[in-house]
Amino acid sequence: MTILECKSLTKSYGDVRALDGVDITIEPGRIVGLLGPNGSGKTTLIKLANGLLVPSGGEILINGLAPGVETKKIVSYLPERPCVPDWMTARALLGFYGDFYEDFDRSAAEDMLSRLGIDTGAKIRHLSKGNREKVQLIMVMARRALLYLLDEPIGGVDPAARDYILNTIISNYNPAASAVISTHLISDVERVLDDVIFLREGKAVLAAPVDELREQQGKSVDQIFREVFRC
Amino acid sequence: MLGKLIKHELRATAATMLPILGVMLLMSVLTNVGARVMDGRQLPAALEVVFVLVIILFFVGLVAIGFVTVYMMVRRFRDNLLRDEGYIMHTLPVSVHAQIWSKVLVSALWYAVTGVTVVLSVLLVAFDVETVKILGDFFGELFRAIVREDYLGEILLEVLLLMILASVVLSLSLDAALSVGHSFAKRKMLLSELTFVGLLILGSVFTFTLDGMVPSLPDARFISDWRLICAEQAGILIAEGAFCYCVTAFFLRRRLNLE
Amino acid sequence: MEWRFEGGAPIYAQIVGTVKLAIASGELPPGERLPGVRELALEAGVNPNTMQRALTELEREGLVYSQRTAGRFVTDSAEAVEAARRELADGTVKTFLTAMRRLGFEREEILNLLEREENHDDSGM
Repeated sequence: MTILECKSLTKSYGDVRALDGVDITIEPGRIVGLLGPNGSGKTTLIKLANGLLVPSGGEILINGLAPGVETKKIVSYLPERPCVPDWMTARALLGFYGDFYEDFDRSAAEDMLSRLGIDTGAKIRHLSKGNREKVQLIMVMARRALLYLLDEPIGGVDPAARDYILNTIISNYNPAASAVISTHLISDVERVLDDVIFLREGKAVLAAPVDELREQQGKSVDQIFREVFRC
Repeated sequence: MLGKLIKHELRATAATMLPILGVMLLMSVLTNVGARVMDGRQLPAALEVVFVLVIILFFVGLVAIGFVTVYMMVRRFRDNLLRDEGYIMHTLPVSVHAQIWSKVLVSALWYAVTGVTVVLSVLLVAFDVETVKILGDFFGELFRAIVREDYLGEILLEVLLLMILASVVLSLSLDAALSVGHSFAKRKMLLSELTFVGLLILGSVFTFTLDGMVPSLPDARFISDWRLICAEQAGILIAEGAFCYCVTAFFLRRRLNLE
Repeated sequence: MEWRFEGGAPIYAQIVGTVKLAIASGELPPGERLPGVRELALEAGVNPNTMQRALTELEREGLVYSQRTAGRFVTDSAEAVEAARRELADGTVKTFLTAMRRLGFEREEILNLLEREENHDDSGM
């Protein structure tokens, strides 16, 4: 069963086509890189999958269903920008996620928080910027979801935080689940990806397994990306 | 899920509303004390200034608190559903209807609590043995009147229900205006305000048209006239509320535009 | 084991190379139990699927075997380890020779250089 499927998916903002007839399928158990420069439609695709936007044409299906209450139960989403309510404490946030998501693994989340030494009684607002971002990542990764949609999780973080993020993704990996990671920093994530999808100006221009690409072209995905998107 | 949303909504709004209402009540107590201490006594100038300030603040607060509550509810809706937190709220496995109802019901509750607080504040300011007696007499008389007069209780109840309905419709129209205004890329607040004005104009046109259509009953007895007015008002409010509800639901589901 | 990934070779193939080197050099002794897939993936910073693929490849080559419940182990077979050692040596020599020929060295010169370098090493460098 395909976990995510786009059929001629199109999204326009006025005259601008953010996505233009995208056809993609993502199978269970894969970690997929959604790669493309800024403005190529990565965030739009992820927002559509979350039901935060409505397609202008074509369709997007999560586990065979259009985005809605049922798909939100199985999708865990890390938005591009930090957006946890910062007036809450981490403990209140644990309660919030536990209340709304049946698949939320509270003890796993508590474990990850304590390993970072985050005081769950402190307001999120009072944590360091790095820890605020990590709290959000922990909430997202502590769900036992079927599809993780991570929008630019490593954009603008230092190498240590990047390693932490990638390790958190790997260590919470579950063979039945898929993850989509959007980024323009390919060399950093290449090692953790099964497949890559290249987006350019709203079109999916390449979709293939990472090792297949390396085998066929004898180049890293990063190099291939630079060639495809050469200015 | 509506229950859980309401629980979290109450928690989030209580964090701002309880201190505001608490300060209001505290000011009324201080005003009461101030008025008594100053009554016919010569006080040090500094103390007098403080008390006069408290009294002025109390009256300002009394006038402003309704607006403050409305503002707080508007801000909560905007920040929670139409700004960054919206990324979390709109990806919860709950329907947009549950989202709207949780906001509207909790807002209506706070409007009611604010109303009660205003009444309580006035009572606290006026509080002394004499007023307690007067109040006791008043409520006793009111109760007897309700029992004696056939329709007094009904009228009071209907007025109360209309007020609750009106506060729900107020929330809905504010939420509709915010949802429409924030579907635009820029000037979201300005466009929300304009939408609200537009909704007000639309509402009065609607009421005006309806007034022309419903014939008045000059021969009817007072109470049936009253009932007709109530029914008409309720009908207008429900129609306006339903319209605003549909607008809000449509814009949240189909025209969400988070940055 | 030191995990480094570079160039265009498939990542699973690079993992196979790293583990093979560890086995051939004795860093991973025969019969040693390997950590789980997830643990290894985390250590190498790679996708668990990729690590799984590399381990399957190593199993296919006979350098690693798995027991249903106990986990994965380095082969006990001395021949298999020796074969891996030879294979890696062949590869290293080939690379070396290719590089030397590109620099224009002939067989005799290369042998001379090797000998001199060896003496150099022995003299306490």
